[in-house]
Amino acid sequence: MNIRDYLKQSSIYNVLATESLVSEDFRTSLAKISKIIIMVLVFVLLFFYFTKNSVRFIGLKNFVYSYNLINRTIGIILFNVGVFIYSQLANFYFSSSYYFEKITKNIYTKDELYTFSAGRILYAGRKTDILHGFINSKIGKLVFLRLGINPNDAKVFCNSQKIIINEEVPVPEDEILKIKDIAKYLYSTKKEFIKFLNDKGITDKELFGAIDWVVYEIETKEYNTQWWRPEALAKIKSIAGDWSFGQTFLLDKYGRNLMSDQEVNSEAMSFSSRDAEMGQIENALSKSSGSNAILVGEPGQEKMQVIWDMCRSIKNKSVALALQNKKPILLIANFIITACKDKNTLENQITKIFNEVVRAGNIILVIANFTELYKHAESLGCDFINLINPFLESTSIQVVAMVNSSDFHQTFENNKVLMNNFETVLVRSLNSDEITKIIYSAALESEKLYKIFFTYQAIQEFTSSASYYFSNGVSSNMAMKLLNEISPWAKRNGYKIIGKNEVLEYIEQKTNIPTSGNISPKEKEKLTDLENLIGKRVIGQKDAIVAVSNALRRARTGVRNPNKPIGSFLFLGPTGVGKTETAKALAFVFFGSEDDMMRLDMSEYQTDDAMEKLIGSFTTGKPGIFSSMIREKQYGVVLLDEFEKTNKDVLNLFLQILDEGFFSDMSGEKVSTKNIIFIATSNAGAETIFKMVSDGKNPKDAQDKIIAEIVDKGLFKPELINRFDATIIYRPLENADLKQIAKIMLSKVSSRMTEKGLTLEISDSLIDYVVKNGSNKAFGARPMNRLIQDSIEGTVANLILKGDAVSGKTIVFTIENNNLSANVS
Amino acid sequence: MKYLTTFLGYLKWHYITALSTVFSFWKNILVFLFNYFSIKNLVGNFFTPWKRLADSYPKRFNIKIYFFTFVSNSIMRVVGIILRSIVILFGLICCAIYITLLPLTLIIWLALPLIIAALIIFGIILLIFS
Repeated sequence: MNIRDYLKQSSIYNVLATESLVSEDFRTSLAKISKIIIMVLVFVLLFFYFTKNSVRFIGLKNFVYSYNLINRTIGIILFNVGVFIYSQLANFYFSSSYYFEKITKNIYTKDELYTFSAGRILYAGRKTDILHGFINSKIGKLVFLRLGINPNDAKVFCNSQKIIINEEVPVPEDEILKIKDIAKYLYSTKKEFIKFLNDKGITDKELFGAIDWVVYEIETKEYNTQWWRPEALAKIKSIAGDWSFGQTFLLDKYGRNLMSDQEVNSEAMSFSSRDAEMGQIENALSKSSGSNAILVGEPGQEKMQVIWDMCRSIKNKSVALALQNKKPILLIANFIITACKDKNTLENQITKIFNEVVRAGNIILVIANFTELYKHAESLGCDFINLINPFLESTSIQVVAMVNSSDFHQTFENNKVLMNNFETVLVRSLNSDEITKIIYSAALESEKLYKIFFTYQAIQEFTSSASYYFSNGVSSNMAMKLLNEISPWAKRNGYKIIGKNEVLEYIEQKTNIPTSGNISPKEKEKLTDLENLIGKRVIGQKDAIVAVSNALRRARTGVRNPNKPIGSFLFLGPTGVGKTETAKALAFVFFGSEDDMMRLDMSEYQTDDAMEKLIGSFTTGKPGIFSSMIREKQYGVVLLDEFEKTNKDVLNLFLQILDEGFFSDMSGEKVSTKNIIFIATSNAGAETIFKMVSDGKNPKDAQDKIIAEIVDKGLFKPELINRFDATIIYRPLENADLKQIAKIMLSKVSSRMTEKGLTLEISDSLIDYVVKNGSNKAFGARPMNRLIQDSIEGTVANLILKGDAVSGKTIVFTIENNNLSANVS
Repeated sequence: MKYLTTFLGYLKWHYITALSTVFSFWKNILVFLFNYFSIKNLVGNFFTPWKRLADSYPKRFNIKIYFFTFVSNSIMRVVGIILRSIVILFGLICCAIYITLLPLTLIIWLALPLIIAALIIFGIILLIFS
């Protein structure tokens, strides 16, 4: 069916036709202008009325009367009153005819053919075709703006496209036609349109997402104008709502009224994906006795968000009867813990608070940090559960406690007395689509407040960056926090339009983690030349250098898997062949300093308390070395030296880290390792490698055999080895490699001596001496450093002390019968 | 033709569809007034002491304490009853006045297109012919 015929079949058609004659902008302007004219002229009339007997204005009075200006003024006022009422009536007409698809559910009746937004596009394209309608409609223009495309560019593209006469409308079989159906139709059939979008870097997901947001924005605006809706009127506080309920003087001292929280009263947080949790809380609190709920979730604000949702529902009066007119008060556990340092005081205060709540009759007692309060009470010798249990069992109290998942499983889950009176509500983490939808409304509020504009890509970036660049916290909190921080930052820096790059720039400033958004030319050069730069320090291990360099390039260009560490490598090989040096060189070349390499000597974590040392202890509350290390520095290289020596539990911890890019510390809080490169080194398989080299074989060719041998010995599980991005075999160094290493080391000594005005002559014989005496089969080049310190640096130090080596002199080492002697010239 | 169709469409909405919207608009405001003065809540708790400020009676019978508790609780009840009565009365008056406005609202609504036309035409006449 063609557009015109299809449009006319719906009752919305008349509204769309009227809207094309009296647009929203036109109505708003009419209302504004007429209001101003009425106000000014009423003021003028009042002025005449009050000054009619004044002699000072006699000339003006005669002028006014001679031209009958008073009657004419009244005429203008009446005219404008008519215009004003007309504009308001027109607004009412559109508002009450508007069909929502995002904000309220199931509002469309079966006989409707298309949604309001889809209708607007079809109406705009009724004389041309759907593509022209989309690009020329107001919604289409807004979508392009949200995608960071200038609508004029879209118009130019549109004008170059041939009109399809009598284009068929893509009518869905069961449902009514939505704007998303139109977008899908355009994206699947109009090749030029796809090319236009792809040239601008827009994907189909971004197009559909931007449409979703624009429709949400329009509907929110429309919905908020309908002030007569019952839920809008319900938000106005009644004058005697709490007259029949008691006061909570003590509870007010230790808590706060959640109904006054900004999160409850702000329109920004109006979107919620927590219907399931809300339903469970309502059921729990509606029980005749034991009407209490325990919210269990990850550490962070997610549980509190559910409580705020509940408060909003109470405010809108859209809750179960048992929650209507209730006042949720948050008991802040830390206040009580600080104030009550002995058992009697604590028991007394807790009992009084619960009695107050019972007497007040309209309180929902919300206890955040329930675990801390419980532990504090236990530490004072108070039987906390039995103290509060009589209240929890009663019919006259509603309590919502919040606990972290790990605490719940460890402490409360098996406590039958407590769990008999608590209904468990599991608070799940939101997925990225749900977080994006929360950001929709918050971003619109921020735009109003700071006079800025977010593109859809920026909104998407908030969600993905929240889990990508921040080491801890729940993603939805981080995304909201990012949004709240970036708005004032953008305003200060003069950014009016905030796109993906601006978000990444802010994150880079905040975390010092380079984001793929901005790669400077200098950094580009460094990235392409990584092999050479690392190769200057690491000799003879080309495979390892290439693998590490590729991982870094993948990370920096944003093509890596975002849910894993940047890279993870297992370096196998004998001692002293450059495994540790590779990690150091990487830290120095790419991260700027060797200090960016965090080192864990895994031989220190062999005992049963290894896990406690690394991730902290729940019982003592002591934080772990590894978790603190990663929290302090979220971006860098972690060297796990002698990885095979650690215990099985630690190896299992790394199974998760390498696979999922995070681990949970002792308090159950997530620590992200997504911006870390892990390098695990091990001497396992060294003997086989030596044997192969002595047999004239290349160990690299028999990598599988070496790994199989390690697995057979039970050093590493196959699944752990498979979790690493690459397992690299370091071959023993050859003589030429050792010579090169000796030369590099001697050059370092030479440059230090140059600072003192001395010159060290590095002869081939000196290099050979260092190689011969400073390396061996078992330890590779490791003894070389010691030899240089003892023999060369020690000799130079003696010469300086004797006064032979002074500034301007050259020190020449000669070797006779493998004996080193120094001459100063 | 387009103008006529849209105008007829509007009239259909104004005199048929919107009548139920106007009625629900009126009803929502009435419910709001009822809630705003908390009439249901105040009637349900009419005899409750003011803000539940009541002392508990002693566990052991002591005529003096019992008497004083009774007197102070009674005072709080009386205070509650007086204040509640005032609000309930005021609220009911407001609701009653509002209910009587329904016919007037409907008349104004039905005449609104004419009123707008009259205001605009009369305004022009005054402006030009004065």
